Amino acid sequence: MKKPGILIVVFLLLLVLIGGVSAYAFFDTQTVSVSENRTLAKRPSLSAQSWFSGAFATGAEDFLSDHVYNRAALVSVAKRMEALMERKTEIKLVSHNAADMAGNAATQAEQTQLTPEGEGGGTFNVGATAAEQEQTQDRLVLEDRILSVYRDAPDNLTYYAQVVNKFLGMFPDYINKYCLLAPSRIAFEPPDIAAYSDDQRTAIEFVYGKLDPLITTIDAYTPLQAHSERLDDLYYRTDHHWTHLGAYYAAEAMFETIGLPYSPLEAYERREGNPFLGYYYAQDPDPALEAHQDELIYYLPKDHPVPPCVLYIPTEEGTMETEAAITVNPLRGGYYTFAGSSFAYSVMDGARDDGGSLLLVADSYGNAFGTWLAENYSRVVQIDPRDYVLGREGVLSLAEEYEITDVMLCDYLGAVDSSYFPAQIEHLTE
Amino acid sequence: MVFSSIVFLGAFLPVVLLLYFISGNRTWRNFILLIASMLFYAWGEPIWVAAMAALALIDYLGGLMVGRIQGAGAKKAFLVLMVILNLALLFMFKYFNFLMDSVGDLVRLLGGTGFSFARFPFAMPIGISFFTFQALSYVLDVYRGDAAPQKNYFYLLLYISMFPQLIAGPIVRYTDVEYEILNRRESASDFANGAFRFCVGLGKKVILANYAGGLATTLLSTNLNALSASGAWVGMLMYTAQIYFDFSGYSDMAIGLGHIFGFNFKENFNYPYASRTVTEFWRRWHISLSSFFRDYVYIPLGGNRKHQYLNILIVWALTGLWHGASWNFVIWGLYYAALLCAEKLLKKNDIDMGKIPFISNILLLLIVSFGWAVFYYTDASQLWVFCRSLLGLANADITMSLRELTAVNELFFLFPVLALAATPIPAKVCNRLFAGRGIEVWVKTLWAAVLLVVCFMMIMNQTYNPFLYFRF
Repeated sequence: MKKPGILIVVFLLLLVLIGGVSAYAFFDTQTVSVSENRTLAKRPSLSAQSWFSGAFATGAEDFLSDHVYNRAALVSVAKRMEALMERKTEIKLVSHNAADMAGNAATQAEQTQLTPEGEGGGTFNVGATAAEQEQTQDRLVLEDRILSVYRDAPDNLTYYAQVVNKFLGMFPDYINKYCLLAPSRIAFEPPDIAAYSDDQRTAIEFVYGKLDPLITTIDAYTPLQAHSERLDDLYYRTDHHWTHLGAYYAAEAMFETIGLPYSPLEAYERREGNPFLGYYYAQDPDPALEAHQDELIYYLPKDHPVPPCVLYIPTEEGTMETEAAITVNPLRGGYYTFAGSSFAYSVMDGARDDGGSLLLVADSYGNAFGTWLAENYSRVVQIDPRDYVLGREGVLSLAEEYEITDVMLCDYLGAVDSSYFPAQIEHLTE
Repeated sequence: MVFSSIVFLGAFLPVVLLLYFISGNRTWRNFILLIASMLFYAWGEPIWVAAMAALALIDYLGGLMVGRIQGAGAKKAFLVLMVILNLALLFMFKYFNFLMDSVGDLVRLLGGTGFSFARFPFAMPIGISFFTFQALSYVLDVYRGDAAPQKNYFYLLLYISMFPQLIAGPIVRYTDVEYEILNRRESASDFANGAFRFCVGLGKKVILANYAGGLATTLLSTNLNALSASGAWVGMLMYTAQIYFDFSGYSDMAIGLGHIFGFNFKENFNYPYASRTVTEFWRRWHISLSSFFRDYVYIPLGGNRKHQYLNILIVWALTGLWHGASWNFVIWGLYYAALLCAEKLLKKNDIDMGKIPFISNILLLLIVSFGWAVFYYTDASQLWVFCRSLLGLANADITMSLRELTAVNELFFLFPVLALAATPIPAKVCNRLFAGRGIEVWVKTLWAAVLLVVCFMMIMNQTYNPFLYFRF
């Protein structure tokens, strides 16, 4: 080869550039990745123990990978290059590990809830077994949305029903007990799309049929179906959650079922927040979806302020730290708009002075839902079973402290078609 | 540490190159290379780096002693001792538990109970199969008189531990680098060619192998019971592609780095999928391993002069076993033994399968691909399910499911690249167009730069990125 120096110089310059981009890691102050919705690796400390255990080497690799200069942009370019390999189709089916899908990176040690400033609190994971981690969930990726596919799993549904009975059975009979199992978006999609999923109404009725007679079941399916011509208003496209409006219709169904008066939607002011790409997009970042961001529509009461709440977040030392929040904060973005971050439990002030006190155990569907419940209660205490580690004793203590009159379990069907989430609820009974 | 990591590209390699070339002194350069190699290995094996150093010490002392032993019988006995000592480490880490498990299975099969043993508790150090064979080749070459005993322990350690080829080959013979340890000459031309080769290898690994491997895993491992016949075929071909680009890519990087530092390692792959016979395939695939077994096992056993078919059987059983401590690898080796014996028998009857163009290529590809399926599944029951899927006898459809189609469509435009890159066509075309001309360096520079930058971004996208052959 003539003039090999040209290639040598370019090669070395690029290595130096890569070195410089990597060395930026030591100056990077970012602790979370907004695009990936996770905590970035921390700088490992070098010690004899960390070196000989291999932890330092692994940690250093992760640290450098996570903190290179402009990592998000470089990964985004890489994704676009990946997209060049792809033959575009109208519909794709991708699979993910079920333990990761319950709104929490359960196989990782930490997950950080994000605020627009990129700061967040840590959460504590109660863990998933190896079997739970092996369960997969399917997603349909369409041109403008991602849908979780519901797969009928009678054993898991039966397990969930048993767990619901066990949990609600911890409370005396004079406590009002409710269960709401919400369908996911695919149930209301056009028939050719919905056909990829098993029937959710049947599954919900299957679970309800196995619940204790003292538990009042809430049919959210029917009201959501009644409004399904405006499906984008009820569910997000790039996220697995229902919107604030979708949660309203479920809350309306609950109030009607139990005979509580409630304010119509017109009593609330419709507002728009920032568009966003949700949880499903973070896991399957198809560039085509970037043109179809979700709208953040939320509702604030016209005649009274948004109630405050206190979040109780577990620390690594096993204590609880508190964080004051408001129940509807659009600055947080996405579904984090409602009731804020992943937390062990929250205590939300209700709009009624003479209302009851509700203990709500929910997955992330409870975040938007709880804000509507607060309109008809004096207080809503919401527990996230993935992060609450104090078990039965803690739950009953909370119920006593806040003079709970009603207890409710609210989950969406996608969280209970694997055994992971019900297992987290079962931890609350131990 | 792996070549396709941020640590290597962004920190290790630039620093090593700087320290290496900062002085022209040979001792300094060998010292840097040795320290870098030990650090490279210690990064992934902070404890067992000592085992590698100890193995080198054993061979260093053994090499010195073998020259002093009088008498052929005593020399041979000493050689046997050295071979045992070299293989003992490999045996304990890699084969002890496998052997004991197999004995236990046999006892249970024969109706016995109560067989138990204390398992060897340590995980196999990375690359132990490679550096053990390298060390062994030194001992054997000194014994045969093909190489002089190395009087400097650190030079022998350098030979064994040299980071370009330490963890995944090629298996470099001591005789190939004996002279170069002290007398090599680094040149700009070698550096440039080495850098280019390194970038090409990196591209093979990060782009071709990793994506083909992702698809292979999706099809062959996830939802095996729902694997369609089409999915089985595509998965098998993707694994065929993955294993080639992964291994040959690594060899390219190793050879490229060797050039940069003035070493000339022998080629390890020569477009094996362009072969027409199994015999030809094994002259093109993992050449350093097959030549090792040929020179140190097959020929001493008698080669093709004495009980040839038995020799082939033994060599290929060992070859299979070298690849992994599991019966599927042994079966894989015996699979090739049977095919090689069959080819030799046919040839004796003037039937040469390689003479039929195109059909022989396709047939060979099918044979090799199926062999990789046997290689892939360490669980016999999974292999059985796969074979049924391959033949359309499983419960799933012949045509792909939406899940499988999704996975395949994600890499659809990579398939022709994989097919083309496995042939010598791109290299031949480029040589014809650019070799020896002024434009050659510009084309290679541009291509190397694109590969390096793209791979860097892909590496971040793919996070941790181990080599396929790490389990050896």
